[in-house]
Amino acid sequence: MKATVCFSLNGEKQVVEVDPSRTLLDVIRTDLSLTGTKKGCGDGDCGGCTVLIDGVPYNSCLVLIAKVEGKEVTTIEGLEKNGQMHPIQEAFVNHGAIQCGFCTPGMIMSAKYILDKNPKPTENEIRQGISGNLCRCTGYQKIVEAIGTLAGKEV
Amino acid sequence: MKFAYYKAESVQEAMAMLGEFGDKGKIVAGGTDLLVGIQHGKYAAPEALVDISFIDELSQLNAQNGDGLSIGATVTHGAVCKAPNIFEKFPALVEACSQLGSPQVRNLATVGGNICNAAPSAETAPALVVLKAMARIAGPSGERQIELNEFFLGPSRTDIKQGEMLVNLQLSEPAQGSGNAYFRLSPRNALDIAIVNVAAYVKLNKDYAFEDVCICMGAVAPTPLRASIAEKAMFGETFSEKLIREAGQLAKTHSVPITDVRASAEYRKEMVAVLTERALTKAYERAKLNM
Amino acid sequence: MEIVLDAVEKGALSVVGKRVPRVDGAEKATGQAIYVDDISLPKMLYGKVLRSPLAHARIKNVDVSRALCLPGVKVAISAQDLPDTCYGPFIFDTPVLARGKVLYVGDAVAAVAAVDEATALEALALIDVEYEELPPVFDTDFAMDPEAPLVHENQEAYIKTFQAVQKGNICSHTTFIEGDVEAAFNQSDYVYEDSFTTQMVQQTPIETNGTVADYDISGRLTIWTCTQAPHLMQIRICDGLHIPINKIRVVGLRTGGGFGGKVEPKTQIIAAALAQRAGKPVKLVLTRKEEFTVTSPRHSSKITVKTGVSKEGKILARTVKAVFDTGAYADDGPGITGFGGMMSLGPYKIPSYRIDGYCVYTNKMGAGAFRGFGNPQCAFATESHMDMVAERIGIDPVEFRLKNVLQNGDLSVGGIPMPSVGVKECLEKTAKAAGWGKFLGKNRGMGVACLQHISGVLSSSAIVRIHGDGTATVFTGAIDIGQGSDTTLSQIAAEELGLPMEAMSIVAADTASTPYNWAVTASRITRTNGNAVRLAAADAKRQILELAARFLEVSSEELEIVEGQITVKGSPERAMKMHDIGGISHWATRGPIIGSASVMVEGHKYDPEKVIGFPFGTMAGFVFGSHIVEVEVDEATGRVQVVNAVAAHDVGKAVNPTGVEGQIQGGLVQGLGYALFEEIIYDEKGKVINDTMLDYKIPTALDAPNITPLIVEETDPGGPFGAKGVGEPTLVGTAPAIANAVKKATGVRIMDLPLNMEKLWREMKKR
Repeated sequence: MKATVCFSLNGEKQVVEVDPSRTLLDVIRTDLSLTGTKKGCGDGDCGGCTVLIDGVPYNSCLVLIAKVEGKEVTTIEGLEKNGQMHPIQEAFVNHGAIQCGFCTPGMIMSAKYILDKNPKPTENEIRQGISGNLCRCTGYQKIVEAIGTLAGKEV
Repeated sequence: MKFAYYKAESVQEAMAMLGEFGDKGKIVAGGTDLLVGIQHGKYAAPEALVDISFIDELSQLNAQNGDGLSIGATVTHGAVCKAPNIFEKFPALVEACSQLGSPQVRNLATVGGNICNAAPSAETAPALVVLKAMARIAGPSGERQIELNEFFLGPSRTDIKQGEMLVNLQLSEPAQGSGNAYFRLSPRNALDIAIVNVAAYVKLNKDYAFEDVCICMGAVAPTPLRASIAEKAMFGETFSEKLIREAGQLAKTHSVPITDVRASAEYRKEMVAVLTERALTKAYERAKLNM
Repeated sequence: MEIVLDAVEKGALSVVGKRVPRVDGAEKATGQAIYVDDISLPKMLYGKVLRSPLAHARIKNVDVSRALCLPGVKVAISAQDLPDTCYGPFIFDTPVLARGKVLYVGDAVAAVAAVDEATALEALALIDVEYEELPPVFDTDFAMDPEAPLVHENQEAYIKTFQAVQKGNICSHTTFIEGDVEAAFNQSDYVYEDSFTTQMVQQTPIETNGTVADYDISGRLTIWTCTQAPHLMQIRICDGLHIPINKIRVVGLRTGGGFGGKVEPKTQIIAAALAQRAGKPVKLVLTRKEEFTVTSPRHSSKITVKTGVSKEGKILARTVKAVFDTGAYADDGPGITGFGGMMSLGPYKIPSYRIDGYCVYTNKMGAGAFRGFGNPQCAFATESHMDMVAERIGIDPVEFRLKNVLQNGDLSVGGIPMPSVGVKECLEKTAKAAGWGKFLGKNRGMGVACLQHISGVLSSSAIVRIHGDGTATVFTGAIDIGQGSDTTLSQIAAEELGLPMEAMSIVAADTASTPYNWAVTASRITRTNGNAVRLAAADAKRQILELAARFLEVSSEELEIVEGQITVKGSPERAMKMHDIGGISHWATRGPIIGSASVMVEGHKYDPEKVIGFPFGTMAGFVFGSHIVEVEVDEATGRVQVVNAVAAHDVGKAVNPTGVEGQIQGGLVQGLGYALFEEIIYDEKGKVINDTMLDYKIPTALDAPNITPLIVEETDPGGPFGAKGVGEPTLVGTAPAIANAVKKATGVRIMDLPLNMEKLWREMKKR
């Protein structure tokens, strides 16, 4: 069985014809070659595959591809504009929020949602907002600080 | 993982599909439990999934003033957390929804799915039981209603029969003088599952005596379990630490947990007492503010 | 080793010591960084491994023929298709695929390569294996019983890299002896003995292990992989498949966390064997379940510590018996057992001691190196014990430690001199920052732990090239697994060359283009590889100055490089641009400038009467630290929340302070998981039952406290710009500090990790 799914991916229209038992993560990584979104567990337990759907974070490993019909999907590749990193990406680089980098794309997508929803998040709100993104390297603090530097700024 | 997938546009269409696929079909809403369960062999892979998450009617969350709360079958935990005005009257539900999994999981996982999977540790079940939720179920011969307290039959087993589906959960307006609360215990502060969870609802009369008490415990029996003996013991009494402690002990005696990788039965029993005390105390404090 | 270089330290450092953003930051922040699962090659096949369902069994027969008949399956192999050989870091006891016996649930028995993953999985089910079940050994006490079944029946025959002391299931017994311990105990006013256990914990990098392998018509094997050790991997593949090292190219990709679990082979050799037969590239990536059940966790341990002290609180004697469960294969176990033993005096001066470490085979997955290399286990035991002793003799735990801390020039276990010992400053700084002794309120407690570690072993090499435009590239075999070596090694080279960071680039971790580095382990890269890079840069600089001297008509000693300009000292107007030197050397005279260096941490000569069965010849660069944590305990449930943490680490010189802080914070939170919730749990059949990230719990952002990282810089004369390492020690102090804090908060002493809520609740009930 194949299903045709139309959706917007990082602002571009996509039409894919795929087996509907596949996940959004699998399709964007394999069929659409956007490998920035990472698979850490496949069970929704690590947040490595976090993408935004209509602006809201989801574990793309748990989203069946057919569910994104008509939706706007944003992946890590959708944040930089004209070769310029998004302010959140810059903050992560400049504040030591990245080590191995494998959780980073998912973490940044969660950070984007935190700041989109609430331009001045508190430390606890930031920690709550990234509580579904496991990081084994940083101890989270520099990630929290990096996001915190953007509080009250235009992002 | 391979299955056919159908999007239902209406409850009627979903019912028709369920009728057609029989026991080879399965409903999916968020899919957070189902897909992982299929991958790990916890569930047999169905031949067809019927996705009900595109049915407008089922995604409605209505908290009209004075008219209780209606939660469509595909309303997500995230939607409950984010909706204004729900915490004020149904704090136990919001406390439960906000602790499930992680932000990402909450955005996908539905309250209806959490109920229909009927895990003994289901995050929202105790809260919905004490809030006396009514489950509206559609079937081939029309709709029926059942109190959520009667809905759970065992791990992964509910009153929903083949060909039926949950349509919504209806909560009536909490009475004046009532309060409710939810507590859970887990090792981590996020991305975790309850070792024990307890919700409590209390209603006080004008003399501050308990006029209605409902306590529901999770992860300590095959289904969410009402601590009915504790409830009865509190009826007509006024709040005291002693009374709350007794209620906790009665709830503990009532519980029948198992030992598994997450905790021993003994620990779970003791924690039922602790969480029952905490939930009752919090519910009581809230009730006093609502006199 | 002493490095005599221009005394750059004396002047202000312009790049080293600065908070330079990571050079791989942008590619990681944008998703452009390439990890192994991001690689897809034309005609690539997918590999899967058939794993043993039994903990201990003889393999009567393996038949892959039915799998080979499945359409889409290209290769199916078992041990009989491979060279009859074993590999390993200390003891060559590990076959590529199980040969003769399976030794744990999950042991690799056969492997397939097919056109897609689903077909490969289907093929596994068609492989017929006939087993004869054998009695398993799951516990080290039982394993050490002379009657116990042998996990390895013929371990005497294995190749070993050291003089191993072996007996029964004990694959290595290391002993350290100094002084007359019995006499010293007799002289002690107090003698206390305590026993501790620690649990098996899994690495849990967010990226699981994986490899893409390709084997060409000329017999050249290319391995793209996540690894901590491309050059070490060449050796293991050579040992396992008998392919010469010069035909093996290992490309270390961006690696999503290592912590020790990506040092030894996990997927590389099997993928190589499949590719060799397929003639097509093969991708083999472990599932999360495999990552939990077959990769090398931290050893569980049983440790007994006995200490003799004087009335004044001076430690006079110690004995330690540490038993490490290394599982089915020794892996790094002998090294870990020996090194853990070496660390088990803690950062204290103890005149007489006897330490016995036993590394014991059982039928569980093979344990290996995991951030701390035996030190987390021993530090939990000995630093908990330190608090227990302090309490018994009525001295404050910080004061007790201060009375006994090591100082510059003291000798380590085994007698190696320690020229740079910053433990006292670490302890004092943390105590001050944490407010040691302040009133905390009910159910709160503060705990301390000190630690030592090393940061130098074995060899490394480096190359620095000066390009035609005056920019430079560092070539290093060290891989940046997140610890930041691409950045710090670039900083070290930039500093030595007098170039700004913008003029630097780095090529790392490709055995075809970068020189040998043993491995990213032992907290050794900044110090050991940093030395190689600094010397290579100094070599290039010497050549630059010699060439410039010809044009500026001075001797090269009169020249210096400042911000990319070569100038005559004292006459800055007489200068040449680096750009000119690059151009001249490429196009006019002399030829391109290449600096290179090789370094070895030279061996220490141990007294064979005092150090027995220790697998390491070389150790250097001792590092120190102190952790103080504050906990709040829920009295009714036993749940512990770490509410505050302060950690100081003596890093010699912080090449990149942001990177050091990140190591401190990250290591501390990993230690928090080790202390509170992480534990691999086996059922009675030897099967792991918590093999998901939901049931194996690493800390989330809401479990991690705010951490104040403090940097102490006790210059290491043997390190580049005085620097030494920081990777592993940051984890080591956390668990004992938490256990000590919980004791303060509750009065309950937990001596068995993890300190989970049910365990603490049980103990509190007994109060």
